Amino acid sequence: MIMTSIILIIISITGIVLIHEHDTHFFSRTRITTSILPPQYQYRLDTMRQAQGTTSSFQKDANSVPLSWLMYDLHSGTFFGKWAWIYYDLISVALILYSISGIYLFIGIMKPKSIKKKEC
Amino acid sequence: MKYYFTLLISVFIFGCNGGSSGDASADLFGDAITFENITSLSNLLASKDENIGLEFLTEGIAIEICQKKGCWMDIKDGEDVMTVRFKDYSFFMPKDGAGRKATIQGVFTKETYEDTDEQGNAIIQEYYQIIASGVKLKKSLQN
Repeated sequence: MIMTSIILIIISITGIVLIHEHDTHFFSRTRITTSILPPQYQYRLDTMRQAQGTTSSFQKDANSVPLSWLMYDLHSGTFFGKWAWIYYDLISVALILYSISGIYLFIGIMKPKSIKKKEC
Repeated sequence: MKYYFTLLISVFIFGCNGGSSGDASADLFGDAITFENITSLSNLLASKDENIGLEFLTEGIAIEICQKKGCWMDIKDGEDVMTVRFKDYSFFMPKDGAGRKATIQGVFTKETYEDTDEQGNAIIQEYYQIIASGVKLKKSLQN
């Protein structure tokens, strides 16, 4: 339950950040060193730099990834491994069910109840 | 508790500077633009192979922007058209940015890919692009 709550907080915060990624320079300029990230990030960065033809350029960024990469990965669940999407899907489905049941209960409360007359 | 909440909201509002570059007429994306002299696209393309891997400041009108994510744009300067992508996909262009003047600092690169000609023979195609580290996009449309 705590894990689910933490993931929901992560999804919400990263969602807000991604919505506002054009509103601030912070997320497009900030980079995170790959030494504190899982090893696949350095591989991904190297592959990207090779694909873009910038392996000999932007040397100061050769060992750091954009913060936006981390935000997308945390938001989509890929940061936690390739099977994390199943957990993310379960949380999403649970949230939809909670919302639908909440609406159902709310409508049930709001509906005027027929007043039965007391029988003498 | 409400002080913490006010502080959080204040940090968020002041942290969001609208992507401005200090220049109210333009939005800045990616790293700050440090170059001063603009190299025109025609000059860049005139000696393409010598310019590969070098960093330039150039400009042009954004004529097309990726409508899926804003991850590439085509700029036009006179008759020359060039595709611009963004360093490590760390930033993207606004999808409604076409028609705005873009000033781009980035590296000129050459890409090759396999293709087939009309007879079905495999051929190597090559194209040139700019990998931008910083882009300044004017807010007003250019006619």
